[in-house]
Amino acid sequence: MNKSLVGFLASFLFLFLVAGCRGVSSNRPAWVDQGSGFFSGDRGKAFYGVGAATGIKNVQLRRTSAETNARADLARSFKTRISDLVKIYMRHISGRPEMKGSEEQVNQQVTKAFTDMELAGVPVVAHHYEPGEDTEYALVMMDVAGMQSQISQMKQLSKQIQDATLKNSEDAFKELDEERMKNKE
Amino acid sequence: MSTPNAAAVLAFTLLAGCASTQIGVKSGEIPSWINRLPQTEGKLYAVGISGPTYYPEDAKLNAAENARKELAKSLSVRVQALYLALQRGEGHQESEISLVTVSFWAIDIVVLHSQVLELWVDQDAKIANSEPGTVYALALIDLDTVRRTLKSHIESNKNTQ
Repeated sequence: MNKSLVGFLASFLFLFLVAGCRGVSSNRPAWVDQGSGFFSGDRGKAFYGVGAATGIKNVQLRRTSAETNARADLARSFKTRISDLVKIYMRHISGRPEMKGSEEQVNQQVTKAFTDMELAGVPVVAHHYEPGEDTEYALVMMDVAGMQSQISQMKQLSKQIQDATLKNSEDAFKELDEERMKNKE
Repeated sequence: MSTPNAAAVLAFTLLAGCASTQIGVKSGEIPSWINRLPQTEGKLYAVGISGPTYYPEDAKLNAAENARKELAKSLSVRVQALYLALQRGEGHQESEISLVTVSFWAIDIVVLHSQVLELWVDQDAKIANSEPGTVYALALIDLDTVRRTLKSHIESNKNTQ
């Protein structure tokens, strides 16, 4: 094989690879494939959660679903209860040694994962829509350094505010009932 | 004060009031905050969306309202997610349900202290699969204000008890 042919093939291969790479690299951000976890971002190290929503035409619903899944993804990495159940059933029947026996086997595995967590200070950082997959991706972030004190404070305060507001609403309903009774009279 | 002067003062006051509460409504190119929210220390941003409505003003109000709800979600949410997977022989089934409940104290604070910075009307449906006339709103809340409001809430509740 002469040198010019080798050169032509090499340049063809190079162009082919470059073209292939250009086709794959869209404006897809790295976080879409990186997934959830604790890593460095624009604002230092933080916990990130990625959520996706596929095949939803309504923009608002598509984005909200992706955000919900991203928050669930983040919460899952903190607090998830997993129960796993595996059932294996095997049966072998045979008559005389020269006869072919029959075998049955069923393998069944059920996995259930439940997450329940209160997240405070977890904003949505970015969105990305991938047209080829018809999928919306959302990225949420829990900034550990900036949010930690606020999280603990908010958690403590929320219970007290909840109690106070419940009491206020009960009073308001009581007043409403009294007014209604007065009107009946 | 004479009547023309009073009228002028009234007109000026009304105009100044309108100018201070006016939200920038834009159309045209997709703003960067639609896909990447601004990152400022001590501030939270959120985007709300509304589909087109018969009266365009309604869509703007809905988008702003949704942006505030999203802010509340950023402040505090309860996340419940259930994942089920069943593997039987060759078959495989997976299902997942996620539920997000916004804490109501977060809604109260956001309603009082958030502000809508900008509205964008997607006149030409530039966002994938959207309808022309979809409105996007960018809302902001200051985290120090959140903290201060929570503290004053607690103190006033202590005093009344």
